[in-house]
Amino acid sequence: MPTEESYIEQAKNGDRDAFETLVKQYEKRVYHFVLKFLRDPEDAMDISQETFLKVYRSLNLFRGQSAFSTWVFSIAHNLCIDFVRKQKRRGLHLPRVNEDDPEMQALRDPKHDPEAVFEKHETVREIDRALGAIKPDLREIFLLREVAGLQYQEIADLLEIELGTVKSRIARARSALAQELHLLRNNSASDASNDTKER
Amino acid sequence: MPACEEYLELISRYVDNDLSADEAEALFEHLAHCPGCSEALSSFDELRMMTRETTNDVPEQLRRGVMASVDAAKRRPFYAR
Repeated sequence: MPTEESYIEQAKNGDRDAFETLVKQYEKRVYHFVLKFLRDPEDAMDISQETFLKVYRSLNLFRGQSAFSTWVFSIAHNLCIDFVRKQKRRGLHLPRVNEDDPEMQALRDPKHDPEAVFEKHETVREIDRALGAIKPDLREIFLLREVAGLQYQEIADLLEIELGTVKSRIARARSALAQELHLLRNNSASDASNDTKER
Repeated sequence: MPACEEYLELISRYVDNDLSADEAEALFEHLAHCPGCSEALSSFDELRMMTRETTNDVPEQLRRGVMASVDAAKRRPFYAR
């Protein structure tokens, strides 16, 4: 079975299908990393496409000093950071809570069980809100680990921080997210109980 | 009951399968009598599950758009790329 390295080499030599295989390999992780970073489906689509086009144009510069995944996500990460900076300069503030991402669009397909759709909708909302409530550096490292699927050392290389800092920051990110989820659920439960009392 | 600050990193690394045998043993001993840390472990596992569950689909137009741009670039003469 061909390896990722062989696809990279073939793509460098202009093999379109090999490049498409690499895109297939990474599209889900890149798209959701960008989506959860920027929290807007249209921006996520633009920046994800730009990421892959940049990968395509710069393939010959990739010499394998880092893992290919680290290289791909460093491009996605830098494009996200630039995008956020530009938005801030224009006075536009990220992020809005995204409750209309493609996970939800896919779920509108009538073949899905309505109960499962509702549950998934709640999960997407919860995780999005919790991610939106934590500090940006914690959100960033959580996404690199859990969505991009990078290893600790890859994250350390990408963010140019110590391995020990990666480990402690990921733990803090998880802990902050768990607390946010807990708060969100408590608030929803107390809202529901107030509604019942008012009736 | 809140989790113990000094065990949070070990719990997080356990989720990522990054503990040595000794570290894992020390963590399990602690978890056996610390409900706060056991709860933290469940929440970290749940976070992973939720994240995976919400990152399954990707819009088809992403790859289509990328490959259309790649094909267009290939058709352009080299001096115009």
